[in-house]
Amino acid sequence: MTQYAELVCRSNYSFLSGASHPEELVNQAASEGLSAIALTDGDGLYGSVKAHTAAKAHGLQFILGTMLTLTDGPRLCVYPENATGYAHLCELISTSRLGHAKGLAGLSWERVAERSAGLIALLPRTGSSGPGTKLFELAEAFRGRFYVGVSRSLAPDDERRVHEAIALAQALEAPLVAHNDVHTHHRDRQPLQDVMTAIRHSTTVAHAGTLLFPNAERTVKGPLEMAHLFSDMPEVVGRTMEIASACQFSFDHIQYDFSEEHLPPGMNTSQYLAHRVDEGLRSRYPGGVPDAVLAQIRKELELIDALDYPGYFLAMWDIVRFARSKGILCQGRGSAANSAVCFALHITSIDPVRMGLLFERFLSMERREPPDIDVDFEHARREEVIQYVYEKHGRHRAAMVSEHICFRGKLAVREVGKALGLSLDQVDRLAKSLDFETDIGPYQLHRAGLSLSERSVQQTLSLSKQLIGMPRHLSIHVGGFVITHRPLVSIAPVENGAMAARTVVQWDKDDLAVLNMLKVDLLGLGMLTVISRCFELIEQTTGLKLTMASVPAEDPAVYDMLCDGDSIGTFQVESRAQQNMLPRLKPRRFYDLVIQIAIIRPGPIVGDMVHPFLRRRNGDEEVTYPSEDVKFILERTLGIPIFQEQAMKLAMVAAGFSTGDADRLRRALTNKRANELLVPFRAKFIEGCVSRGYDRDFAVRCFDSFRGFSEYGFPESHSASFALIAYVSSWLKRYHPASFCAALLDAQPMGFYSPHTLVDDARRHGVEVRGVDVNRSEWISRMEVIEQTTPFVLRDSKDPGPPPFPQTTERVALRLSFALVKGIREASARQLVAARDAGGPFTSIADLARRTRLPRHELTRLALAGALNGLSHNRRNALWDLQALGPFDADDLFFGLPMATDRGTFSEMTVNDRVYTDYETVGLSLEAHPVELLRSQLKKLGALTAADLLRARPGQHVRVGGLVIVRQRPPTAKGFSFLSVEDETGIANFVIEPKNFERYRQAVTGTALVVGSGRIERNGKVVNLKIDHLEELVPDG
Amino acid sequence: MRLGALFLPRFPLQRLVLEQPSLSGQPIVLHADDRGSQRVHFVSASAVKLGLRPGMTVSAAAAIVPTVVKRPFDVEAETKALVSLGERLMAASPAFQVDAPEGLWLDASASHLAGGEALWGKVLVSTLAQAGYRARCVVASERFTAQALARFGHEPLAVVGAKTNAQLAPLPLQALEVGWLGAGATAPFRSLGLSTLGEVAGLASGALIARFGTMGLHAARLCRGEDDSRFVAQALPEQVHERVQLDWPAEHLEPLLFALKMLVDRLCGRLQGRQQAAVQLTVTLCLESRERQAVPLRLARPTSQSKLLLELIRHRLTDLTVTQPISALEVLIDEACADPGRQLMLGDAPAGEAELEVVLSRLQSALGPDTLFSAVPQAQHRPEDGWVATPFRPPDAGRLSDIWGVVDADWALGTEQTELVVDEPLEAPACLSPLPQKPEAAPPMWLPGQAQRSDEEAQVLDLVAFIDKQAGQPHLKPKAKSVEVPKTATSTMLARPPRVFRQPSVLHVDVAADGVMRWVTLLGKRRRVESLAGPERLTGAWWAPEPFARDYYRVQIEGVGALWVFRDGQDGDFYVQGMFD
Repeated sequence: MTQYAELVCRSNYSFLSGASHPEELVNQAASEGLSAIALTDGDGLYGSVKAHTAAKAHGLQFILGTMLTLTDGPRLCVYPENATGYAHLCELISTSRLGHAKGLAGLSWERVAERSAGLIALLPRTGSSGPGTKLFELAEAFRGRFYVGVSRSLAPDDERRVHEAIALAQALEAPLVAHNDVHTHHRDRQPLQDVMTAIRHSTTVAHAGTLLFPNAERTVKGPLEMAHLFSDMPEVVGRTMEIASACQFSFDHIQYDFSEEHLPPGMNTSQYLAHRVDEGLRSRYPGGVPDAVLAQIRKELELIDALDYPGYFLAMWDIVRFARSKGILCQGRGSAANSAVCFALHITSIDPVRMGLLFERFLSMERREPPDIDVDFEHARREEVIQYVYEKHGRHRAAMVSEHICFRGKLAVREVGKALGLSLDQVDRLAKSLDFETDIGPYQLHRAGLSLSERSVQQTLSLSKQLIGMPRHLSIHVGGFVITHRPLVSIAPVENGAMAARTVVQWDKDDLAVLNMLKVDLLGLGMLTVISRCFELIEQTTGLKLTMASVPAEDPAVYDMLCDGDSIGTFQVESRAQQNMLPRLKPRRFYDLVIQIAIIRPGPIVGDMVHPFLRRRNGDEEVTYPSEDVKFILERTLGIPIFQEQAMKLAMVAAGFSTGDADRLRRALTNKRANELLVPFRAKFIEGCVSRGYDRDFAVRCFDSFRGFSEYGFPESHSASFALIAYVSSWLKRYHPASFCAALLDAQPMGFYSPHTLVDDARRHGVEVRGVDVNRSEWISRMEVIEQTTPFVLRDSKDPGPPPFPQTTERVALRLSFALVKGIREASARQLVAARDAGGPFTSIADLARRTRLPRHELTRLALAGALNGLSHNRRNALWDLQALGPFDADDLFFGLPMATDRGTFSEMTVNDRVYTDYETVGLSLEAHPVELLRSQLKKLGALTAADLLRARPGQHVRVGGLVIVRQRPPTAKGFSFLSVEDETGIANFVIEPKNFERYRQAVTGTALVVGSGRIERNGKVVNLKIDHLEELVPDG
Repeated sequence: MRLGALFLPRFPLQRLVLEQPSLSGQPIVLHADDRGSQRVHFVSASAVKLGLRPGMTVSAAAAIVPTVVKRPFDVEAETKALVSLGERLMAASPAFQVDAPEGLWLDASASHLAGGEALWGKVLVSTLAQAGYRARCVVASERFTAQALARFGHEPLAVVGAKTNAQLAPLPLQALEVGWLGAGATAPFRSLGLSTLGEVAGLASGALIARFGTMGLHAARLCRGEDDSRFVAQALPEQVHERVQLDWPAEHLEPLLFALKMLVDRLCGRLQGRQQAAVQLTVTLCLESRERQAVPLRLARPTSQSKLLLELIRHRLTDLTVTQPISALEVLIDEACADPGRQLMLGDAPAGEAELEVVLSRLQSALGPDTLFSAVPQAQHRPEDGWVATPFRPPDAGRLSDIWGVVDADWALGTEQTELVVDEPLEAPACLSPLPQKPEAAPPMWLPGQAQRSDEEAQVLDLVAFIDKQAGQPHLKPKAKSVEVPKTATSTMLARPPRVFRQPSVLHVDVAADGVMRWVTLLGKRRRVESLAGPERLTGAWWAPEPFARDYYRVQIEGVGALWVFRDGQDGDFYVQGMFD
């Protein structure tokens, strides 16, 4: 029987050159009866791990390979025969990629020849230039392992190429071998292949002409079909097996060693880790280490040693130590917080023993998976940490993990639409109609001005679905690092990242997990930057030196603030959903915050854990436990399993699962195919519970509630780590709102809210905010000492009553920074500040221009922002004076001199113009809220303010108008949409029922100013407006 | 110099509605490509009421008003239309300048002959009103003043003195942008809170120059009614050509005549403005299928009288039979009696040019009007799409020395030359019936003497007879026993045939049980397939209404030679695409 191995095969990891996923190619090869398949994407092994996994599942031989780009010859496929060949393959790819800018590659034939040992070479296409001397020399370097490829794709020039290949093979004395130059796994994928070709060439399929393949034959073909195609030279098909049998190297043979820390003399890694842990414990527990902690530490160290991971923990310790030594805030999170060793090493801040966290969630002997330690650093200073890792381990031993960026809905629709010849506006509207949808139906198309009866629209939708999920380009993972002991380029292909001074391995984190390669995650967290900056400002203004650890714990005033839902700007509890939950859950201690953060996630919501928990917390439902063991596990969450760890513990304690089984259950729970994977566990869990004397109903209820974990949820340790940051941020907001707001503004963009909402919130808390001023502002926000705070007054309210928010007692005002002014570069702002510091305040616009030498357009932006008002009275005068300045060429004698001294008589802008210009230049206005300008119009409509809404009675039908600052339609909300609508007095919450979504779709999804009417729903302090009518608020005139 | 500015609000829309009265009152938008997006440029009044605005995308407009009528906006066409309108007004003014896309300036120097400027302007407005256009007219000494008041003033007719800014003062700054400072140029003034021309005019010149340079001075002078820009009379186009798109395709003479009258009126107006008369003209009927049918008309006596001309054309059209409804009409004055003549230069050879014209005319007369074309290669896989026929353009009338200069440059650069190709031999042999609409509805095979043969059929018969004669087998008959046919062989080099048919033709094939082609029926005879090579597979155009999937074979047919045959993947039939010589 004929056997055949496909040796030239491009997947979609050739980036717009192949139209099938690696897994699809392998699956098709298995179903066609191929003996083996290689993946030869250009200059990379991007999709190889995925193909390797799929091939293992089918028991199919997968041949590693790549198609190298030669700078002085045709493309060449190479396949490793053994470990040496694999190392050479990785080195060749790395050399090729690292020597060129991102996305490009190229090697000289000499370089390939140098690294030919252990590799088999195949020339897939002869090229038009014919054999050159270099080709002879290259073939000589691979003597006995060099093949000439021949393919028949039923194309017009097939036979010419076959004859050329035969001639070349004879000339090189190399055997001929068949291949099919595969680009798709099935002929049906050819339209997408054509579309990708058109996208690659920035044209349309209709205009692509002969850029497209003439047919769909470059697909996976079975042995019989290949034998038929090459019936005149059957040996070329059989010879593929010769190569397949020679290439027995697979990813399973990779030997990976984690980098070893520079060890003190006489110590191995295990001993050194134990030493470091011992030191850490002494600082964590100055009063003596509890026995339970010591026992846990011993258990963990044994396991770490047995799994050979001490080097990994030491590397993490070293990185964290470096960050702390530089004053960079950092904190470990994720499952690492379950480890007492991590706590002792100061990698994490949560004591897992005290919290009763489950170590097996982090590491287990049965699982034998590499540990995953994620550490957050101040995002503004993370680069320092990254460069430290490169410096410490060397670029040949460290590289960042890549992220395979795939086509998503909108981009796919845009690209396919353009390739199919839709006009840009059609493509634009089609893509926009995906805003809140995963699928587009006739209704959405109608609203977009398109019709499903148009063939191009139908094809766009159908092909974009195929394109979604296909890799588009390589990006850098947010913080993943691979560090090796041996040179990394001999283990994994490395290339340049888009960012300067970054190198990345070609695999993503999932691929690395398959290969059991350890990675460390150095993540950036904006809130740590905020906290760090806030500490700095507080020290500047009050002299108080704070750290994360020294922030007073369990402050009732902080919890009071959170219980009021007053959390804008804080970490993790600032979203609209969290704001609604805070007054209902009423957090009064740290662990309440842990639950608060974890419970508003898709997992607990889908698992229907939220309402039972709230009922029990409010005493509306009795809390009972079937046993003391179960009580020990669920007591802190009032009998409701909210965390994955609790599911694992329950399985172990109530159902008798082993640690490994419990972890497998957790994995099944978090898998996308949870429903299918959980079937075997369900019976085991229920029967296990029953056999241990538990009620069957309890077992069924418990297990069914686990299903929510298939959606996104936080492990308890992760939530606890975040809760710490959430508490610190809340404390800063409560006691230092001015500094907190300043730090938030400097860290933008981050969080849910834009600067104008943050500033308005700060002002509601009594913070005095001052505008941008060339004689006072800096690139970042600064604090100015004041004698007396000016409380924020609720406008448009005759009797505002006591302020609804706690008022600050800080004696400082927040001066807005130049960074907020759009169009001002950081270098310019620093230049301006330096000139001011050197020569004192600016006295006129001419003085400003001469001393700062800023370009005219930047000075104009400052004038429009009102930053020159102190020099020219108002913005129009400032613009007029600015325009009178002489030439701005640096060498001009008259640089910046006023060419005319006459002053026009310009009226001050109207308040509307000033607010509009404020928003256009700074993004916020200190003068008025935009909605305040429309208040008279809203009054005519009978609309209440957001503040009035809080005082209105439940069930009342009212109308409210304002600016939409947040729109949400979470998948877990069963079609409900939520709008946060801001006015000059606060924020109102609009709830739109699914039945009204389509009716008011335009207003819900795209309108900035809305006015809505509906009935008030009040639940404690939470007030929502259930909308029955919503429309755009069009300003009069 | 005194000038009259005519402003025709939304002129492109006015013109469209005049030509297609059924659109009157409907929401209409005119759109054009703007960096890949189709954006609305003009909006009809009823569309404005429904919320449509210039600047929005067509998709957005369609989303708001699904029934909106969308038409392309072509600045060039509108400019041509304004030129045409200007020519028609040349009876009242010796020269005009186009202010596209909504206005004209006319030389009012001779307005005293019409009873003064006011009366002259009134005549212009009423002339346009008779032609169906709404317009405002302002007579002034400066182009800017006249235009700004016509565009942004409220009076339908006004006469202003020289260098006056009193009437300009209340006009918006926008008046400075259109055709003067450019879009967005007044933003610096707006940022200072200035909104009218009068406010700019009130600023000191020195201050404006210091701040805005020449732009500031220019703007201020315009606002004060000081405009030195010159009136440049529009050069008239060489050819007098008019086109009208019918409301809907006409199947009868009456609607055609309605459009024709409008067309001929415009044409004659222009001829009269030029003081010319038509000698020869061509009426072109644009059919629904985009085919065009030209009706040349040579006049025994030159004329610019629309009535006479219309009568002559009507007679010609009455005798004409068209196969499809007519969607548009065009009239081109091929020749007018007024000939300005030309000064010959050294190297010019007018006799040679004339001879060339004669040769081309004779070729065209002998072979038909469409037989002269240039074949431009196309990078397409489908063989019949591998080239396109583009109309053959003889050298433009002018100096031969110029033409040869251009040709020399092309040769030097080695650019691709277009060739003069005679179409005839590329047609498929008539014995191979053309592609049927439906496979089962294929017409019966032609038999000698059964019906009148076309010229093409006769030519192919001659060709096949010649082939038969060469082979010494004039009358092949199928053999009684089956013949061994070689299996599909892919090793044979498959060159493309030198003769590729523009339209593939059905080939009747007998396929054996094993799926191999053994016999074909050609020219009424059953012929043996001697060898078969292939397939070459071509698929594509899946995005178009007519996708294709074909397997091509080189088929050696006994007594005929090698044909390039494909089997269609959709209907399963065989077709001949070409012949190997």
